Amino acid sequence: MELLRQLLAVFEQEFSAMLASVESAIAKGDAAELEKAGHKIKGSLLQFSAHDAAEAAQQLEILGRNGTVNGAPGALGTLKRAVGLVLKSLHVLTGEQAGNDRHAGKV
Amino acid sequence: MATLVMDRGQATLISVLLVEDNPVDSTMIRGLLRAPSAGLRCGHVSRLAEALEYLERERPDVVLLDLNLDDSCGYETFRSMREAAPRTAILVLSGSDDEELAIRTVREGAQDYLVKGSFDGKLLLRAIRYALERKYSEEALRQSETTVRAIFENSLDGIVIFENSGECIEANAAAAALVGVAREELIGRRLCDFCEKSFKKEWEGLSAVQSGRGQFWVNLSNGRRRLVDYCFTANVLPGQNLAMLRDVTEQQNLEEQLRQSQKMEAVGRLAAGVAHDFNNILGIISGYAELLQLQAAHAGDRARAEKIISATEKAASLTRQLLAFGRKQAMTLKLLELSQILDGLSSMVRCVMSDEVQVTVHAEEGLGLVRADQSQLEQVIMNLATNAREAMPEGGKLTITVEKQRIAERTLDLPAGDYVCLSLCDTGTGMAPEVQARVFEPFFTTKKAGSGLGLSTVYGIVKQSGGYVTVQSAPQQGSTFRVYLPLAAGSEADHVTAPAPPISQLAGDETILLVDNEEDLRNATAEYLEGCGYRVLTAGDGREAIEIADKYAGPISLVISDIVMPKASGRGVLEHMRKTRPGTEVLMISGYANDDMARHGITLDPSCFLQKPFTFQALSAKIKEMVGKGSS
Repeated sequence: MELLRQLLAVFEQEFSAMLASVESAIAKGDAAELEKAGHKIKGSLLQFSAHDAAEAAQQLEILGRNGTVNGAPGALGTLKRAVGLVLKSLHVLTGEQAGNDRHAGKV
Repeated sequence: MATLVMDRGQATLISVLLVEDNPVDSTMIRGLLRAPSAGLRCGHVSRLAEALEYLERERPDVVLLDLNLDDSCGYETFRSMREAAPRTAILVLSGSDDEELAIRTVREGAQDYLVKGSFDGKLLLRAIRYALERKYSEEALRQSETTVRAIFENSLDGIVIFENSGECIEANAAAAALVGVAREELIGRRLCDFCEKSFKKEWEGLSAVQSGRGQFWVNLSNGRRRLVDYCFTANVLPGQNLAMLRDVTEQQNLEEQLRQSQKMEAVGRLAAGVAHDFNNILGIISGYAELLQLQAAHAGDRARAEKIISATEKAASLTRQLLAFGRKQAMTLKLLELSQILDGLSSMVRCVMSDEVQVTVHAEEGLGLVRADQSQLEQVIMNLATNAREAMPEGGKLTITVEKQRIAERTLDLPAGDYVCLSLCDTGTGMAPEVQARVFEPFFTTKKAGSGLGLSTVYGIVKQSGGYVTVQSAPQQGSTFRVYLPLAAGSEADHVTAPAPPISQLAGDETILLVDNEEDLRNATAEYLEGCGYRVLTAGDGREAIEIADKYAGPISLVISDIVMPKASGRGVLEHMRKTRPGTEVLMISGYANDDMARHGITLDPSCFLQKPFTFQALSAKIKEMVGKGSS
């Protein structure tokens, strides 16, 4: 559980920078940058077994690989929503666990 | 080997480098590897450049490699890492959609790949350990292969790997050299294609046995043959057989040569022994014949006695040949110019040749001197010439050459050195190898009326003179005999042929002690010497001789003593006389050659020796020479 907490902390810390890369790639029309950023987010999400969110990130990666940023803003929206859900679930998981731990500590 | 690898892995911490630019992935993996039970030490970098530096500095055991980095992407990342650390186990971390690329890296040398998100700590650890172990095994295999390859390539013995059909699939350079072809020519062909036909069946039968050893002859393209020892092992790999090959031609030649020289040595000893006994008998016959001749009242009796003497001389010349072969013939070594000897002899050589044989002599003067016995050298030339004549019954050419030769490197027949070489080259019938092998053997002859002593005498004389004789021949292609005599130091040849001085006065009145265990010879000699006016004391062995000498009050001018006798030998007689009668001369006689004195530890001037059988005339001359010397 400690590792999961660490992972979550790192992900949250890095995710905003990853999103910034995607947004910058879309703004510049840089497909290669989009592919790279999408790939990185996908890999990170897979570490949490967040397959739906990873698939959304993969959409960005595939667009980039196909040499386009068209459709990327839509996919980015989907990704943000999916990641939001993942984070919420993870917080609940680690929070409950943490709560249980604290509770157990009081006994 | 595998056990060792595991032991090594467990004894020290496995050093792992994680190359991963995604912070989440790297946190996850490092987290999984952090457990103390993992036995790992994990370093982390996120760029290829850093990874290459780390490799150089830390030399980790295992690299966990993400292929997509900021400064390198895809297969290129793997290629760079593998080039930088070919001995390090690389485990590729791939995303789910680039598995194909990961599989390619495994084909190119990565130990394994793991799809991110699909493994837990246990799986990761196991993958790392297996990767490491596989890498160690691969390395051990690589080293073993390198060693085996080096042995294969550098072996002095030929090594051939061939299929059950007999076709070679691998051969080293030594094997190719053995059969005298290029390596590529050997591959795809059967070894027995290069061998004598008789071996084909044996070779084909080999596949039925597990292992075996044997020999075969290889026919080389230059017409020569090579004897090869082989050692065969079936199925070193399924359907692949191994043969180790060794050239033993020279060994075989040396063994053959040794056997031959031992045989010649033994026959030589036998011949010399027979000649020695025979000489004593001839001495008796010729001695009594001389006495008969001296005392004969009628001219007819004298002529008959002369016939007996002349027959014993012929017989003695035969025993001289036997002694020459046994290298026990008396020699008078002189510095000789071979071309001079040949020059003096060429008319006689032409005489013994039939008219159909054309004789050419090439003999320059001033080639250098050899140390040899003149009459023996003449005998060598005559025997070789006679042999050549008989090889050319229908005529031909005989070329006799004398030349100087420097042998730079030792050959089978000849040590290195400077030689004067006499060669006789005929265009006759030539000889098959099996005849050549026996040609110098005494009593070996291919002629109906040959004695088998001609060439064996040549062999004996040349050996005794410190030289070498070789023969080169092939059926219907003539023969060349070469006699190599070592070049002797010195610039001036000794005078050749010293004719025996005429015996004018053989009579004398001195006292002579005659010692010989051959009673008949002793009696005949004594009778002759007494007839010449000498006072003769006789003894049948050394001890008796010493007793007689001690008892005899008057002077004894000369002791004539045999060398080998029962009780006390000639040496004992000589030593006693030196002590008790220092003024007495001693003449040694023997059926062996003068080297018999040296063999029996007798230190006397070679001139104080007479070889049996001798004529009484020769004996008288010798006595005159010695007694005269003593009294002067």
